[in-house]
Amino acid sequence: MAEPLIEVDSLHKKFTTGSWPRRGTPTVALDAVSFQVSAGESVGIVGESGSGKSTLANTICGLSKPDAGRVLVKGQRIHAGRGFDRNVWRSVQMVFQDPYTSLNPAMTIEEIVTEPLRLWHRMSVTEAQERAREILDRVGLTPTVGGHRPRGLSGGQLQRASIARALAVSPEVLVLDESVSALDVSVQAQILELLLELKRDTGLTYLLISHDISVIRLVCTRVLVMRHGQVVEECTAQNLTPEGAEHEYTRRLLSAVPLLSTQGG
Amino acid sequence: MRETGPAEPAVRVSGLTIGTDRGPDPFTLVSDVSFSVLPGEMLGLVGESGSGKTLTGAAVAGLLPRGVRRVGGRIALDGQSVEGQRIRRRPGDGPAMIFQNPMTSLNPAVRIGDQVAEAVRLHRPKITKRAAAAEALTLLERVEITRAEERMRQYPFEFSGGMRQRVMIAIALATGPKVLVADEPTTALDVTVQQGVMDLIDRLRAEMGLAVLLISHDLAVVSERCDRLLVMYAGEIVESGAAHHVLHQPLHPYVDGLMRCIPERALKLGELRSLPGRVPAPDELPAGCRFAPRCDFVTDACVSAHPLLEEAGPDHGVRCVRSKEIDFHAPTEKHVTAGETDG
Repeated sequence: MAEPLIEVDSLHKKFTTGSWPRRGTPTVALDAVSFQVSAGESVGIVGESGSGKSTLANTICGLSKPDAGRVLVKGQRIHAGRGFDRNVWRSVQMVFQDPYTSLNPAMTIEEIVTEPLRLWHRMSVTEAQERAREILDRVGLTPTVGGHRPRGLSGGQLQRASIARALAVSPEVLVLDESVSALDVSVQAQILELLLELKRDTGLTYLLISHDISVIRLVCTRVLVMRHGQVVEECTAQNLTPEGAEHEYTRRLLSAVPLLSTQGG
Repeated sequence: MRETGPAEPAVRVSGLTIGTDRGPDPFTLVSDVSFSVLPGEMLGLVGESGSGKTLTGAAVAGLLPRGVRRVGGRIALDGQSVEGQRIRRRPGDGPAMIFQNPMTSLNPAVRIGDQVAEAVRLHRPKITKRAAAAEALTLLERVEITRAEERMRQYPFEFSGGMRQRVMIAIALATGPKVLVADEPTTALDVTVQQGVMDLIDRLRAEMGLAVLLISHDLAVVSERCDRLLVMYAGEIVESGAAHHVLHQPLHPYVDGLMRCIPERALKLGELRSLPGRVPAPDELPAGCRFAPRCDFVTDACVSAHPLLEEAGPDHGVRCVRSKEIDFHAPTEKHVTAGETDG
């Protein structure tokens, strides 16, 4: 097997909650989390609130430092160390849950996509604008939309813009933290369709965090189930069914999911 | 108290139209919505953002926001018509409503027990403090809060999301309502917690004969809990009827398209086909069918006249002129096959 694109090696992270005069109680967010992602894979991470999904995402992106363990992207550590290369940061990009608050309200969509091109790729203004239009077109946004500021756009358009911004720096992997959870079903389907298209056309590698198991099964090939900061089950997306799951918790999680009643079909 | 026969609906809404009441150019947000909910029935009201489902629910509960009012139609509670905006004669009267976000609907600085007791006292001003507190305890026990006596003295931050939603339900029940409007009650909650809260609402419906209007964008939740449902799009009902009919043999192209967008359904069909475009804003509604600009089956007849909600079978209404001739299973060109892209 080729060298994995991302190697997550026994990550540990504790948060201390509670404030004076109470003694803080440590919450274990990540507990010996290890896994690997190869290029071209799409990995889903499911779990309930508080299972450590988002902490894991932030740690992989270098936004949060683990207490112990390390994240390697193409063999290089993402958390600053000796001989740290900032380009490692560039290679992992994140798309957040709420597009309304994750884009700069003072910039137009085109500016938001142009900025990383200028900063990371040292492109000239015209070159960057041209490339930005290409990327926006790739995610299905017209130049007219590109001229708007975030407040004038719908949730779906904003999430497309967030993906465009992330793609602008040509990352090795995209981390999507509940990126489709706040969207309406039809808009969610549009974004999932975009992800499938990007995967098919450009071989995009992504990690999708979601509490929605159907979403994960639809657009991911492999799944990690998290609970209390641990990966309790790792399986293929097809096996993520009450019958296929091995861990008791996964089965419980799956059986709690409301389903469209199966009659008719 | 009036005697009500078994067939008397707890809520009957007919021709409900809601619009803005300010500005030089007032526009309609919800048009001509009619439905009724029987005691002990849970009716689902589904639709995407901007479809008018929350405003419809708020109108039933008499909680329309400022600047928006009922411009037409009738709302009758227990057979008695409610005039104008005055659904509530005193605080807590009439239908109760619970909201999506239990994190923000409780007062963070007041103990849980006091918040429930306050609802009891507002409704019954003559009740003593002690009796109100006792009543609050009963209510909290009824919504299955464990160690209720101890937890009454706690503040909202000490409660989890699901527990807070239970407290909201207890407050809603404090006035002994016959109608409960539940606006996305479980959207902000984890699936396992969601199941518990929905089980509770379902149990209260059965035990107390509550008429529940369940508003949700989650078709799966609605299909699990409701026998009948209404689908709204751009301020009007586009399809109504028995849940299994509407969801499994939809007659309206929007409902069919929406069903295909659901990941669970897409997995079963083996393809994900999203609806192009977006819901029109209330001030730019097309003249004909409101779904026409996004519809694959659009004809001249769709654009020229606004379709009516027509009877398409026993208890099944649809607002589409072509509903009888369309074959939804015919393939169209734009689709991405899930699974095909793997590897």
